[in-house]
Amino acid sequence: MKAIKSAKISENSDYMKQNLFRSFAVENRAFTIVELCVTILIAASILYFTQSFFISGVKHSISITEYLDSIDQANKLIFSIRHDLLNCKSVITPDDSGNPIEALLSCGSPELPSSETTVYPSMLIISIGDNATISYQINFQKPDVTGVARIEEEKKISDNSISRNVTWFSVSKIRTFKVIVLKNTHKIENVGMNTRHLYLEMEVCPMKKSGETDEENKRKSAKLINTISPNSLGYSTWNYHLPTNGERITTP
Amino acid sequence: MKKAVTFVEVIISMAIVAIIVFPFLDLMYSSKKNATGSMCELLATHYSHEITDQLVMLGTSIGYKTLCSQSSLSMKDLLESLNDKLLEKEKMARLPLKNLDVSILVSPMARFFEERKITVEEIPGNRQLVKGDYFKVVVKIGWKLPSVQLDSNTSYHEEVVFLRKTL
Repeated sequence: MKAIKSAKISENSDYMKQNLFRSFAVENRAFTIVELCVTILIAASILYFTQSFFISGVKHSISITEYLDSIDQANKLIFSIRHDLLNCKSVITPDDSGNPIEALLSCGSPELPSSETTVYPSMLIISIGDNATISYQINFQKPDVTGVARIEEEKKISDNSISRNVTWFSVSKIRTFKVIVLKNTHKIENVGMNTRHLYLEMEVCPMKKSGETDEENKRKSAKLINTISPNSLGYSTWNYHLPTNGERITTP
Repeated sequence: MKKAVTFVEVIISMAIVAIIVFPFLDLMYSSKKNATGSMCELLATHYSHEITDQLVMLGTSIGYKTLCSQSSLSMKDLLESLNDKLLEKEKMARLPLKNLDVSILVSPMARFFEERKITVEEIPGNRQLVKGDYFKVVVKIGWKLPSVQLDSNTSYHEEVVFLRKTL
């Protein structure tokens, strides 16, 4: 009885399989040229999709890692500037023509700073002593290595030499570094008083590939804008000049 | 007769492909979200820092006793009067304290940010401290990242500064 039962089950199973797969069955014959082409096309498409998917995934991961590293460096840079400002004697931001820049904010104007009326220099010079300065400057010396250099300089009067210590903040995705001293005027009982702030703007471009230019600014970028307001921030108009050999000499 | 690919086989192979592909998609999505989250955390730190810096500066330069007597407002009303204008997103703003020609500067907030608030709380007298009225000022910055999850929460960064009214 058991043998008969198992034979019946087996027959039923074969019958069900045949019925189930009838619609998918094909004759055992050679491929036609059209079928072959379609098969190759589908295989090529799958391979192309898989390859591009994995390559874009790897590129994306690298880009995100670089972006996070850039953010970390930008954070360190801001806290370095903040630390230097807390200990400074005076600060200037020279524009491209070499003139020191301080934007005056009058009581009447609620908005600031306007890109039409204010120059945004990319350099900051902090005086930390009679003959010592710290400067921050964006550097595009190499197309694929960008960042901000912190240059600490001290002029030794004894032998008239200059000691220089450079710290490099490799904000690899940086696009702009703008600094300006803001002078905010207040009035209490018709007596004016000022507070000074350092306006800092950094633009970090997350998806910029190495060596690639983005003249039309189409890529999404993250802007870091903030004001640093240490109590002792002063402003100086002391003379300085940028000689052609790139060595900056300051005259406090 | 030779069988072609069955529907069940197609479904199983698609499921296998999905099992392989989805973790990669999830990895890419979460790494992008983490990067944006880190950027927002950094920005929030600076947004709160710039306000607390200036509040401390006003306390030491002009003095909150003078500011309160000039505006005839309490410390809480004076500082919390800024809250209506703190959500500036377009450009940098110079916000006057209520009834005063004294202002603080605030940066425009980036997208994803939806809260910037100052709350002031008076601290009861303490004999250990130098004589004066003390206030706990909390600057709260909130942002919300776009998410596929419907219940995505707002993240917050808070910075606390203690101010003394009487100098």
